[in-house]
Amino acid sequence: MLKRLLGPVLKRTDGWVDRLFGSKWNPLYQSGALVVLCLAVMLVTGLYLIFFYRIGAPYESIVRIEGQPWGGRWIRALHRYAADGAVVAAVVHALRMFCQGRSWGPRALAWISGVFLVFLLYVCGLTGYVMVWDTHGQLLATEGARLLDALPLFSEPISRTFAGADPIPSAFFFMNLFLHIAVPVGIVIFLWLHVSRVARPVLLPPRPLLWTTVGLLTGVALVVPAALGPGADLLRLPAEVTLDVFYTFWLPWTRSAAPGVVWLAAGVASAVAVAVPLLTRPQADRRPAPSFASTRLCTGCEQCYTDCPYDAIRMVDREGGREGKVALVNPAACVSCGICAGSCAPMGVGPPGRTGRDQLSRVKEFVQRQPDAGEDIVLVGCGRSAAAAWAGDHGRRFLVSCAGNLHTSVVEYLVRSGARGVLIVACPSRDCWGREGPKWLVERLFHEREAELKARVDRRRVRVAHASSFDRWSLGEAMDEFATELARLDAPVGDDAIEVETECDLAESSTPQDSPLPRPGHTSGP
Amino acid sequence: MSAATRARRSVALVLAIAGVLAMVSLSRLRWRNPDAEAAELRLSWRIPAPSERSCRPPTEAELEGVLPHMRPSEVCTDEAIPYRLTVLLDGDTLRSGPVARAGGRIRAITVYERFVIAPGDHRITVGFAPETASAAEAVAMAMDADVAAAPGDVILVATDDTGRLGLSEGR
Ligand code: HEM
Ligand code: SF4
Ligand code: SF4
Repeated sequence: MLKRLLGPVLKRTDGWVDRLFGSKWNPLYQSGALVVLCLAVMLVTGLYLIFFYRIGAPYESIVRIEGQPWGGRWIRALHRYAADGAVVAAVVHALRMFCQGRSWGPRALAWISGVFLVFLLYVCGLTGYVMVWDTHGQLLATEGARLLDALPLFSEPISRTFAGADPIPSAFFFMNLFLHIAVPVGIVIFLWLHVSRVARPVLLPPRPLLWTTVGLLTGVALVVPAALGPGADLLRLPAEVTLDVFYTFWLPWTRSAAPGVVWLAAGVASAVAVAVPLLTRPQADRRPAPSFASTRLCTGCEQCYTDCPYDAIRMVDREGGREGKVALVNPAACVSCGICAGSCAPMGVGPPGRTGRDQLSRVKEFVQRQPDAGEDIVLVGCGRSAAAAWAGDHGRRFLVSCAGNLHTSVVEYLVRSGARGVLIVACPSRDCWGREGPKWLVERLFHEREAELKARVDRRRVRVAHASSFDRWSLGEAMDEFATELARLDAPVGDDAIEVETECDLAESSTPQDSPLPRPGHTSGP
Repeated sequence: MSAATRARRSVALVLAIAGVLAMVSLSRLRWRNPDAEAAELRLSWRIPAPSERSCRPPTEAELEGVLPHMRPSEVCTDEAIPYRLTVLLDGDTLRSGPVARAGGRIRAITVYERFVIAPGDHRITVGFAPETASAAEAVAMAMDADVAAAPGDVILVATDDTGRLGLSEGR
């Protein structure tokens, strides 16, 4: 329901933001990396602030920091705005993963650890606000104590600490500061867990985006100081409070609610968030089958093992006393992105029905169905890209599940069959469902990465465009530009009998229909 | 970079700045706390938990198996004394009932109560005493005071250094 509602909105927003920022710098695609960047900014600025913070006189020390117009004031503001940025980016990141269906199966660990990361981010933020000990911190502490007192945790109400009869013990501020500093260690541990299942996680955005983000946050911190209310007075109810919507949006609602209701709502929301991997998992018959490596076809080159974005392939010793290694897919870690299918020169690996051999037989049929293909540009597109909805003037369309799945022999076949040009439409490289498809595609086509496009193929007739599903402008522009360039070339000459090297017998399929899916820990082949 | 692309990037930068400013304004959203339009009566104190000791001679069964020189002359049990808290505002009862104790092994009674009261002049009467008449020597406290409460004020009733109940100005 939420996915159906939000998915189209997200896709349209992606299209517009791509148009304005360029897909390479679209911050929406970098949301996970932007959270890490914000955390890094918080760490650096926090290290400065900690030198001036005093648990014996918390509010006074913050006032002193605010009194340093060239140091403390903007650093404190930057610390706070980076914390806000982290929440915004984390929410965008989580929503994207949800709407793109990247929340179940082998990604469940990333999802659940992500929920814990948000929880830790909140603990860090809330303790930070209490540290300031202005009226906002006071309200947060008293409301937090009221809610905690409803749980069977403490033998006596901790709310009494804030009754106002006695000064607040500095042990409280020490404890709060300790949590504020210790929780980031937990964040680092959970972040490690969060990306532990992905190969080569991208932890920081590309430099121009990184420095623009830091520059914007610093600029705004210089101009707009962080809010600081009057000092806490436990014998006065705070009248006007400056809330941070990203962290304390709940204060106006919970203050008039019974603690049981608040805990119930928080419990239900957390349970649903943690259960998303189960709730969003497709039914067994609709789940894409994991990849499968054929022991017969595998030459042990290790390319799929290197390329797999989810570290789902291991190289193991060949069975039967034979020398060498062979690829083995771990179905529990494989998301069925199909990127390994494009890695393998002998076309021995890939999800069932999507290996290089399967693609080659599909493209042969495609060419046979349209024998006078020479006039056209063939649009080879990822089903998640703008190619899926393309209805332009020129071009025939050959859809694949991901441009990173595409075996270069398919491109070779199309060019040699006489297509005027082959335009491959991939998703923006930081928004690939399989993470690294567009990156490997370009390297295979133009930078000799295995399984590379053979030298005999005229590369002037091959082009890659990046266009998200709603970005028909970029695709239109790429199409027109490519058509203009192709018009300068001679008319294509198709080969009569196209022989595409498969390095092994083409007749056999790497994933025969009758072969059972491999069980974890077993290598099986046709 | 073409002129059109440059124009789009400029719009993007303006949008990014607007986005950051929007974020910052949400980070400093002023909110009027409706609670501060009223005043609060707050009670907060803690006393050592008094208990009542009752003793009786041991039964035959209890003495059985105990060495003669180890036999007690009486068997005693300590029973926590139940307390009642009464709070009146201008003669109207805000609360009158037993004070719950946290856990059996806690050697203290803690009172922490908050009441929303209308701003203005009030007479506050607080009574805190054992529920049973037999525990006459246990601590009993009472307080009666006139207060003027402005909106947002907290009228705090607490024990002072001598253990007497009274209005507290905070320390
Ligand atoms: C709050 C701090 C968070 C940080 C710093 C963070 C950061 C990251 C990073 C750097 C990646 C790897 C991106 C890549 O290289 O492809 C990632 C992946 C992922 N994140 Fe987060 N994330 C956070 C929160 C969340 C939340 C709240 C969720 C969802 C509840 C989530 C779900 C995921 C998923 C499912 C992936 C795996 C994507 C895939 O494999 O296709 N993350 N995250
Ligand atoms: S790419 Fe193909 S040949 Fe190379 S290790 Fe993987 S399955 Fe084997
Ligand atoms: S389909 Fe291939 S590349 Fe993708 S996760 Fe599975 S094994 Fe790795």
